[in-house]
Amino acid sequence: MNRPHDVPTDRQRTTRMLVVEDEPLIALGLEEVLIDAGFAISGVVGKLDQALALIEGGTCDAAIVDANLAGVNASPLAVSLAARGLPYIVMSGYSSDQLRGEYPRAVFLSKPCRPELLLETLNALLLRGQN
Amino acid sequence: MTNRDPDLPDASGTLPTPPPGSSALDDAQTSSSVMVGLLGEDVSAKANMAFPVVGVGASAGGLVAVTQLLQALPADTGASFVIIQHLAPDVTSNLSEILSRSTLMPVCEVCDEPEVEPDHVYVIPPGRDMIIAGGKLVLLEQDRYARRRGIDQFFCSLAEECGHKAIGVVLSGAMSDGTLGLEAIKAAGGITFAQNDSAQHDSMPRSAVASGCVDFVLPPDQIAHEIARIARHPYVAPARSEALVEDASGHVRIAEIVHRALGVDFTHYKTNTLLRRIARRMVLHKMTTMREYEDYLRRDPAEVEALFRDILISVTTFFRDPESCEALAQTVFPKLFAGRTRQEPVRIWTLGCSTGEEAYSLAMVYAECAEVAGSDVPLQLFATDLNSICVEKARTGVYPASIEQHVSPTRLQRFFTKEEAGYRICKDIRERCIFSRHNVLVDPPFSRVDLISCRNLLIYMEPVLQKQIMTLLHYSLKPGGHLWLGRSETAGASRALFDVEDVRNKIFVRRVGRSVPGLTFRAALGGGRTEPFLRAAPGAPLEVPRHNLPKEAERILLAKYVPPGVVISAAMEIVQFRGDTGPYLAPAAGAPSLHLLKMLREGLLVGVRAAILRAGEEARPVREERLRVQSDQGFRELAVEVIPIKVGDVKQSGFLVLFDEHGKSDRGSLGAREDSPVAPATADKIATTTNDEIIRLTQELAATREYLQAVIEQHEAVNEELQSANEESQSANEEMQSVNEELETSKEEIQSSNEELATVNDELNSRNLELSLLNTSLRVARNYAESIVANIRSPLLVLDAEFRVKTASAAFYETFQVSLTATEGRLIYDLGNGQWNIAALRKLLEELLPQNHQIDDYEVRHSFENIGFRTMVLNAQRLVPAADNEALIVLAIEDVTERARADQTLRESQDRLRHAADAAGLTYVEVDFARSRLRAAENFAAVMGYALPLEEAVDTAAGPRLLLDHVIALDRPRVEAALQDFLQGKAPGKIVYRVRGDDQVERWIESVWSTENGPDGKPLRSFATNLDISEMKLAEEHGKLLMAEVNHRAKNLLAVVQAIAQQTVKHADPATFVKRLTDRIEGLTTSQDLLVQNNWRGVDVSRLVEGQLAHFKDLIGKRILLMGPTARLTPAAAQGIGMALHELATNASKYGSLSNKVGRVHISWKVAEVPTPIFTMRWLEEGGPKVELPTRRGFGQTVIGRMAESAVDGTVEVEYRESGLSWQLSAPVAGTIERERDEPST
Repeated sequence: MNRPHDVPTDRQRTTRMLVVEDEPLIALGLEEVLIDAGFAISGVVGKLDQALALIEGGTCDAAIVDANLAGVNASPLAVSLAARGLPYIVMSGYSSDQLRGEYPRAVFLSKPCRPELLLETLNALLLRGQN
Repeated sequence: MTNRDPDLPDASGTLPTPPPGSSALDDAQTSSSVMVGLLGEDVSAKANMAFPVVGVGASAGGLVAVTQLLQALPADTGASFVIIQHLAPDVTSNLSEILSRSTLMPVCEVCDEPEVEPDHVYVIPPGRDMIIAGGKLVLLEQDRYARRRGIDQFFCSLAEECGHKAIGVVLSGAMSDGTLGLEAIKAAGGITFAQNDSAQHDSMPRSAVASGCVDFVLPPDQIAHEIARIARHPYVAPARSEALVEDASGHVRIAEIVHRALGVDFTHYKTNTLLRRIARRMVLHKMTTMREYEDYLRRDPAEVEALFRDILISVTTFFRDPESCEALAQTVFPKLFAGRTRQEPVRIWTLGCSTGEEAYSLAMVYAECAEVAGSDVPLQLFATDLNSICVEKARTGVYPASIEQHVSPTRLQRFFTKEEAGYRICKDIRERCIFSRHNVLVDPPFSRVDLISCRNLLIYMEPVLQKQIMTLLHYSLKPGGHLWLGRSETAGASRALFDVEDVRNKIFVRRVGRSVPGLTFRAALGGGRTEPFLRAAPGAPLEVPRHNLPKEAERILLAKYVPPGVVISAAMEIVQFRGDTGPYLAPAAGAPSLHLLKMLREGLLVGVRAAILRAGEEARPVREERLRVQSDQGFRELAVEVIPIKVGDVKQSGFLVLFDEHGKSDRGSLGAREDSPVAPATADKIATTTNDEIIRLTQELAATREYLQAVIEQHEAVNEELQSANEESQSANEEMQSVNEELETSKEEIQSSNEELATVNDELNSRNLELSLLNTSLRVARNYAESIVANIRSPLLVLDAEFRVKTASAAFYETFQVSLTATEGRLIYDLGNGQWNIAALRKLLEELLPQNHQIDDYEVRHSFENIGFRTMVLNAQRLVPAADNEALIVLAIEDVTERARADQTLRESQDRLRHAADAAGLTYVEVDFARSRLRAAENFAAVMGYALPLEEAVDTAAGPRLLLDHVIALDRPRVEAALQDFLQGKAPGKIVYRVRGDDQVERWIESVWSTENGPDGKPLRSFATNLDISEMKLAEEHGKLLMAEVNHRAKNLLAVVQAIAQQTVKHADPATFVKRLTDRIEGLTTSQDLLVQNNWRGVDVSRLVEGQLAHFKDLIGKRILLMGPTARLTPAAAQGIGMALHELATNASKYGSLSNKVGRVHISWKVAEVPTPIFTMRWLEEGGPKVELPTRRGFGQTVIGRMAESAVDGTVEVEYRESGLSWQLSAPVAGTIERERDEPST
């Protein structure tokens, strides 16, 4: 398996990632990319309430959120994350103008997404949050 | 006093004139010695006043006349004047004051019943009626609602009070008051005046003059002169001169003159009546001695007539004696109806009918009685009077309005017709009455009369005439007939002829018996009526005819000396009674018979019959002695002698039967001459020679005697025959005369009818003229109408009542292509082979039209023979038939086929357009600037969801803004701006916006605006065409959603492929990678296919299994065994389980039970509900190579393990048994299985 980043940074090691994705294969792929990049995984869930419980429990520092969770809009997660000042990436098959609901301060990535782009975006986001 | 019934006498006595009959009753019965009783009406006896009283009646225009009258009157006439002026009841009158300026006489308004004094003027006060009674003026309460009859009322009382000293003057006034009063005054012997045409209102005096009762018609001042003169005349002056009676025989001479001139002999009229009437004429002619008047009469025939009429003057009224009328109605008329048929009219004779009132009254009462009794017996009423003027008047049957006093409204209504001049007797009553001039003393009487009314006629007559007339009336009446006399009259000396039926009402019944009128009627009927009648000598037996004395002597002789007997025919019928046969004969019970044997009293039958038979056989007289007859005194003995009588050749013509109670007397038998009544002479003292001679002579004498006797008998027989024949012919003659008289009357009637017919003819001629004029104008109108019909373009038919064509217009023939001959006179339904036999037309003609005069625009659709299918509009009118014309129907036909077709096309096209617009959701609004109107299409509300006022007048400037009202707030600024631009011509008028309807539904509307300009460039109208594009918008939205979804899924799937590729690449060389990746994508695709096939709504488990194991299709059911219920997996579960099954199958074919040729796979699944709903699925392999634990965890393990668990949120247990792999998945049903069964209930 090709690893995009061979050496995980400290920031990556200390950042607990939440993956919210209803498609198990994609979730599996994302988890592998994050783990390979050195991120700690806070949780991989496919349902809104599971994800909300994790966010509210304070066990994650950033999140990758699929906008459509088996037909359920993931906007409440975005709101909850934004309220806590946690950075997150919205991944979706939809283009941004097709998305409904609020996604404050969201960074959108379109599926399918190159792992490198995902990690770059995530790092940039975390950097911005740090600064 | 109110509501007086004019037909009833007034019981309270305030009626000024009591029924004249009753006063006359008193006169006739109590004071015959006074100068009286001439007439029932002649109240001279009551001339209580010592001086004349002048009644002056006036109404409208009367003041001038009265003033003129008073001015011309000397103050010392010696008469008293009473002014009766109609005055307004509520206004105080200054009349007396005004009048006092015109005369020196004292004038006063009446109050307190003043005694009337000469040379005074009395004026009636307003609101009162007045009469004179007992020398005083008496005021009466005025009946406010009664017709004004104050003058009549006073004059009547004046006539009664003053008699011949009453003077009546009628001056100017309207209506007819005063006429009846003047009549009463004149009847009482008073003098009457009426104003001439100098009157301002002349109907009152004219009415009086028309009644014929006015002596002088003069202007007021001349009336005054005449009054002044008359007041001093001995006739009325207080110091009455004896001038009138100075000439004791004067009236007889005057009666002679009248007799000679007019053929009416008044000699036996009551002397005082004559004197009074003559004196009255003398007054009028200013004469003082009778000789003078006599001379005048000889010079002037007209005066003779006038005197004659004055003598006969009388007052009569309708229903004058109601009580007696009622008595007739109750007792007499019903008897007359009894047992009669229509062929036997009731005959009534009214003598002295005067002007006919009584005759008509009787006819009316008769008509009423007949109606009550339900009788249809006709009435024949003869009414006669001496005075031909009266008769003439009676015939016309017209009476003044004042008869309302005496005739009840009911009778007026029923028996009269109102005319300008008053009332006319109706035709029905008039036709029953026959009026004729007739002198009862001279002219033959009517015969077989049922009822004679002879009222107040006898009292004119001296007793001698009275008796004659009564005999005559007896003759005229049928046996049992009734006689009705006046109140003051009685049967008197003729009591023997009549029985009293009703003493109070003077109704008598004729006694049975024969009377021979003691009069010889005039024989020459055709001649004038001037022949004097013969009077019977006083005291002469009435039944003796005056001619043929010898015969009469013989009769007396026979009556005296011949025994009573009868003459009978051979058949024993009695031909003649001779002498008093009463003791021997009596009428037998049963039908009347004159058969002798039936009439013989008891005891005579056998003897008489035998004697007659013997006498017949032996042809000689037969005497039967000693017969006994029963009589009141017992049995009487008598002899009966029967003598055969021969007449001519006939052997036995009859018998004389004599009843001889003195049979033993010396007279012996009349007929039996065998025993000579002469006894043989004693001859012993006579010489023998002479003795023989004597014997011879005696014998000769006896023979001669016998011969003589036979001759006498023969003569007697002939005589008797002659007498009998004579009597018969006399009786026949009398009847003929009576019939003749009736014929005479009829002739006069016919003449009068002729007159009427001539009048009617004239009238008809004039009508004819009118009709011909009308005809001409009708013809013009007809030509006009015909030319209209000929030129009218619509077909026109005229039908008769049976729907036959009378005429048809040219347009009809043209339109329906038919000929005239095949049309006219034919039934409309038969025209042109019945092409008009249309149900709708039948309905129109036979049902609708009879109920309406006119039917408009009645549409008939029908296929006509010549011209095909047509739509016709029919206008039918029924012409109401005038007179005896037949009813016609005009039928106008209009062919509207083309119009109807065009209408239909237009209507259909409009309908299509409307349907299309409705379907498309297209509507429009029009703003009409010229008419300031906003008009929306009918479907506006349906399209837009809200209504615009239809045809609403609007302010055109604000009009378009109305369109903005329902635009949602979000779009409104945009629409408004666009509209503004459009109206200013800056932008094309097209815009899309949303409106919210009254139903709160939001609609997308696309509006296209356009404006139509007038020739001046100014806008006329603006249109807004609105299209509902909501569905289009919805579809657009849906499409966008769908695009997003497709995008999402496609990218998701690509992401999955990317993940698979990442996983697959880990432990593989490029060739293996490609194969594996391809396989896995294929598995993914399979699941995707199944999901898409099912509309992404889940996949059945068995189908998913079969899909993923498609490579092992042949093994399914053999080595791959499926077992489980039908259950549909959710898309996520289907994808996860699908991939797991794909990995399991790949693994089994590589390493497991599908890698050899015998291994099997059991795939089973179930849905358990307890304890919690759980779906389990198991993959169990057997018969494969020995299983070894995998050395490393590959992607396959992840897929059947973690990934499957994640997809269904369940758990997976994998066991690597030696016999084969076991894979078991447990997942909550929720999220795994589509619960289809629940769907319908949720």
